[in-house]
Amino acid sequence: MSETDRRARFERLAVPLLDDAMHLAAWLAGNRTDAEDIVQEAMLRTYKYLDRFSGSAFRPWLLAIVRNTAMTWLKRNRSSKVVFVPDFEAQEPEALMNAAQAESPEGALLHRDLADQINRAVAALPDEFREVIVLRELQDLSYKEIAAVIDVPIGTVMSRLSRARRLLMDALPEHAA
Amino acid sequence: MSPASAIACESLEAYVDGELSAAESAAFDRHVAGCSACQAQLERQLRLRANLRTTLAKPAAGEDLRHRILAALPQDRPASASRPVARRQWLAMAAAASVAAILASSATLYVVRPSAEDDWQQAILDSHLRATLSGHVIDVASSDRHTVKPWFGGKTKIAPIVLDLADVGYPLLGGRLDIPQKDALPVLVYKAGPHVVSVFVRAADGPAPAGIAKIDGFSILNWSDDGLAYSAVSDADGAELEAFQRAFAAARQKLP
Repeated sequence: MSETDRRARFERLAVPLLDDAMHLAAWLAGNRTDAEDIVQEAMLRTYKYLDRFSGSAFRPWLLAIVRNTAMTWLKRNRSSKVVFVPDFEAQEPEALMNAAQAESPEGALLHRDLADQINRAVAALPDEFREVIVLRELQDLSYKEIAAVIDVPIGTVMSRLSRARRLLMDALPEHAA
Repeated sequence: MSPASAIACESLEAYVDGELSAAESAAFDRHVAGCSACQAQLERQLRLRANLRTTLAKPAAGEDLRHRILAALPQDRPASASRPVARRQWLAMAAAASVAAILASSATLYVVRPSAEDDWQQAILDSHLRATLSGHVIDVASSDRHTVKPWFGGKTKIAPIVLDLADVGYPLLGGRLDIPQKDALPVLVYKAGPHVVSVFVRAADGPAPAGIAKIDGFSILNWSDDGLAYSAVSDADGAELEAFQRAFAAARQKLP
């Protein structure tokens, strides 16, 4: 593949998924700065290995590269276990506004509070559980796609998801989960 | 709970996740109707799912990161003037210089080293292609030059002259910030019939080129004026770009 073809292909397939890559990296790294470094490295890797992609689903393929890059990056740059404290906005203000639009200001406040609680609960999940929740609920991947991204059997995906949800339900008030 | 319904309860999450076949889903629906434990659990699972999907943070990648990644991609050719394509471009540009000399009467013409200029031409063509291919042609969409000009303020060292050419057939679409080489530069985006024209503006502190180059079916027209070097890139043909440049120069004359 010539550099020009590769570049055109990269811009057609990968560039539109930058935000998806960022969402995943941010939830794996826990902060924006590290996530940006991870995404940049992952996108350059994607560019390099572009001719190895032959399947039909590019998004899971790209997300697998992001995930693997994040794992390596975090291992290299974080010597010990650090507490996961997200520094990005706890929720999308727009979606929040829409959800709260019909409600009173108190309703909007309640909703914001709930959103904070949910984001904190997901942030507090152990890595292997947080990752499946993000791949399923934020990236909307199927069991099979998640299995491919994190390289485990489908049964493991199902049990991790189930365990993650139980942890979230335990951590959250009844009206949240 | 019978063994059969235990199996049904087990499939609750797969049901919520849309992983069951139509037949399995229907069977689960029938099961839930008579299983109060599953009804309660299903309600919780659906509520958790809805809450996660509407509130989980989605930090956006941002323009900076996007530019950084695109700028870090390997370039098609190294910075060298010895490649045949590079030489051809240069010859085409040199041949067109005489035409441009007449067009850009008030502008200063220079002759420069081919290699640096070839790199520049390739870089802005790539940048133009990147923008048009990704559909991200403009960062600030406005046909009002008084909106576009201040938008660049503080984002780049260059304060471009923004002209509205709608009355002469080249409506201003807006502006975009691009990093074709190492500096962030203002790009003015115009429409010329069905074509998009990206006008890159950089400081002409050294020798600046003039003339038309053709690369891969795209035209690049260079001119300089008042300390700034302009490069217009488009899939419009050379004559169209020259007409555009004449309109640009004429409107520039009318400014105080």
